[in-house]
Amino acid sequence: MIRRLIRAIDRLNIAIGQGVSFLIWIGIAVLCFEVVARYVFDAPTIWAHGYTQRIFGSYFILIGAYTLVQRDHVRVDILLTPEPSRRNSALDLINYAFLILWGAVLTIEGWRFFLDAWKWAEVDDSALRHAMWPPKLALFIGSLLITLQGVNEAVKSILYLISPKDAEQEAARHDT
Amino acid sequence: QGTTTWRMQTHWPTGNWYYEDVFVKFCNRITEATGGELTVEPVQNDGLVRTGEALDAVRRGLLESAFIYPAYWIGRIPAAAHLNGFIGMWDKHEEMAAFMYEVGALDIIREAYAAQGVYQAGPVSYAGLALYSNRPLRTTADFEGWKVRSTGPAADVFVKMGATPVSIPGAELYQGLQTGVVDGAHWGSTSTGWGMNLQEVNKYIVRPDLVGHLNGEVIVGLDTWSKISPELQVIFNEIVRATSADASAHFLYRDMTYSQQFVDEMGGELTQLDDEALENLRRYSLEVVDEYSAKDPEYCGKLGPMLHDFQKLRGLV
Amino acid sequence: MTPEILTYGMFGMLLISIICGVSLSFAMGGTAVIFGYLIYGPNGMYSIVSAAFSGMWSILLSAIPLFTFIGVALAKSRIASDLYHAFYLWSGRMPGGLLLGTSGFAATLSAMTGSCAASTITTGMVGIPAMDQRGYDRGFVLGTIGASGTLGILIPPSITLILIGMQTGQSIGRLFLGGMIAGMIVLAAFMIHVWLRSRMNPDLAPTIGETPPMRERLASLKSVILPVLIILSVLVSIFQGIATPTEAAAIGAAAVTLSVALRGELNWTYIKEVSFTTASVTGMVIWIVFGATAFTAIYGSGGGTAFMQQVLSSISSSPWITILLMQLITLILGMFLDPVGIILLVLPIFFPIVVQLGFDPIWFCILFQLNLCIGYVSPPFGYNLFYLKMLSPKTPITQIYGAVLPFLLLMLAVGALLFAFPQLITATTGA
Ligand code: NA
Ligand code: NA
Repeated sequence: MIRRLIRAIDRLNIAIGQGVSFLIWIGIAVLCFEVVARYVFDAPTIWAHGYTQRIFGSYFILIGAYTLVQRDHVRVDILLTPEPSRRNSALDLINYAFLILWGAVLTIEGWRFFLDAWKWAEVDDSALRHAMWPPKLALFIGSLLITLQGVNEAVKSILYLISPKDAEQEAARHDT
Repeated sequence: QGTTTWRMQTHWPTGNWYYEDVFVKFCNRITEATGGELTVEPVQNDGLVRTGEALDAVRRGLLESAFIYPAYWIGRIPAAAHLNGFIGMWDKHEEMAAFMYEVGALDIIREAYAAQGVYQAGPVSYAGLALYSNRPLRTTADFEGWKVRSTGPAADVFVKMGATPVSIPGAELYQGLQTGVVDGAHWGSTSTGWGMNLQEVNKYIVRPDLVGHLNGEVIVGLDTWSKISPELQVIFNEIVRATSADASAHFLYRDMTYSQQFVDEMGGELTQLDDEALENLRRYSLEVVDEYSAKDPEYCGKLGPMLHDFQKLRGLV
Repeated sequence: MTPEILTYGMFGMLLISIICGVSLSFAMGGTAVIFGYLIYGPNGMYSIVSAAFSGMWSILLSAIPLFTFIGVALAKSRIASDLYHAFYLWSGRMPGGLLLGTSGFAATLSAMTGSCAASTITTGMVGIPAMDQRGYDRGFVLGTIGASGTLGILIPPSITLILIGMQTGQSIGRLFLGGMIAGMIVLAAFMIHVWLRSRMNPDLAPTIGETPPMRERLASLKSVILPVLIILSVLVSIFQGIATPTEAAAIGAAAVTLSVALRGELNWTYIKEVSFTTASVTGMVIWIVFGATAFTAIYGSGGGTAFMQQVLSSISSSPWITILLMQLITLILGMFLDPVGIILLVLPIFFPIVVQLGFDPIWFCILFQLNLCIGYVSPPFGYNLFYLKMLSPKTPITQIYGAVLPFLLLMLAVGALLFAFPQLITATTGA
């Protein structure tokens, strides 16, 4: 039961991360459009840079959890062993404790950040004056997702500490 | 009686001459005038919080006060645009002060800030809005297709003039001007633009300034403000007013010497806008003021008509 | 909390957690949360979220995913390997030929962009597989790429030099000139080092056995001419004022995609792989920025600056010792913090003293800037180190630290040279 929940959270964050990863194409398209509009047609848009900011800002925060699933948040591997071990799981727990602490603060404060923007109908300072709540909502969601993934990984580590054999069998079954 | 200490953050980098001459002096002046009863500690740009978050930080009491720029909050408090100053709205410091203190615009602006949990102590002049350009701007037609780095209400006016505002980040501005991604920019007055090294990558400075005084501001958290005595409040407000007049003189003098240096030592040229262009700028600017009034009826809706009347009093409408 | 306790506490916790294998990003963010809470209570948590949002909202950071995209897209297509094949055939028996070319490539990208992302990531993505294939020593390759990548902020244009100019009021044009001189000296030092080491130990960088026939060499050019032309013309367009560096990165990304399509290599699998890899690499870098911004914000506001002031005033006796001490502080901070944070933290303290002591301000700024560059490769925290780890995931980070060490020492030597002979800089940048 708990293992199914763990896999479900992994899959959720992989799906969201992969979906969000395509945002870069939109970012590229918007910036290229701006250059052509300005240089070829001498008619720069007022929205391109503002939209780029929104697109990449959301992209940055939302891919954090996916990066975690992919094990791409860099760690110094002086004490880590190459193969799974109880020592690794203990160190992993410290790692995720730092993440969960930070992530929880980002999630809670991010929610208040979003509420402020929503309540006061805050808009950006470009000529567009678009609402500021969407990127702040992305901040909240991205923080929530990476914290959730952090808790998920911490539970995996605890399960490994309790019974390394079960955990390794489980991993082998789903790696293929 | 005890003493109170406030930290006051600015958005100015410490390397600028006006950091010491205007900002630090302002802080010290309050400390001295109150005999240390209210001690103000200056904090550099991004020192305690990021500049963009200073309003919230002040509201929450994380930071007691800020010596900062209203344009940052226009998205949250549209009335801050009136405090900052619209193009063409006043030339002299007395005119600006008359609108704020005599006409009573500041009272409404204070209400708008109070709704956000912040006390607005008042405007501090940062001198005029000077355009740096790589294209000589003399007539309205010269603005056509002019790519200028601009944001906020000024950008709206430039659009109406036929120019095309480009919003590139401050850190890419120098290179953008050097390579010609943009043909011009404004960063406060002649002397504050000088701090951004705009003189190195522009051939012209446009005369006159598009508005005589762009204002900074002094803000304090409402809770923090209510905790000091009425006597201290009065002293604080008086020093804000006095500093505005002093800063205006400081900047004006620097504007003049830098302009001279621009022409004599850097081979730059000062170009003069004709009366028609100035009139168009003022007219379009009032249109922008009306757009603000429509979007924010509660505060800008009151300030807009005041500004119209004020322009009539100045004999310009 | 006194500034000393804050300094030892924050850096101590950071160091210990990093050694325990805590991800750099989480170590910085978590430490910032703990100390933010200790200093300000719940109110301090606002700085943490404000730091993250300022990172999200910084349009300059968009260059990172874009240049990562260019690197990934080139590496996953056959353009990169063809390019290196051609270079290999043409470089002949020059010791370390491909590495010298790689250094030059990084310097060229540095002259076109203002950060280290392009010069390191793009160069690495393109260069590493090709040099692996030809039996180059992985550590030697990583060290060269990581170090050459730091030229991204030394050779103009440079975001950090612009920030230094804004913070000190110095002419950006003259700072750029000084950066260019320092950058050329550093590049020369790297190239001589690579050449000498390859010559003394040919196993590190095997050269081609015999010069291949001209026909084969010419044929190798055919497959690279189109992509090289497209990519170069795009990058050169920055100089023509067609695009800002960020926009140019996007154009570069589109141009690479176009040339991959023209070669018939563009398909759904390729698009997915490029998108996914770009995302997880960007996630790694940007989340470190989030953590570093929070760490710097709490350290700065908690009185870290006051600590620097104390250190400076307690030790300094002669003007030259003071300047040396400033460089030392910058180097130590560079081990842990990101360069923008360091600029905001210490330059406001240092600069007025430098002016007061009568030193040439541009010369000082360039020395300072060189130390920021060293910070990109000094362990444990350095963006280029992380880029290298991402480029070569199987290499332990400790080996990466070792790989850049010789280059780090070279940069220190260049720093000492500029320190001893200020006229190297001032002769050109003087008013
Ligand atoms: Na560069
Ligand atoms: Na470092």
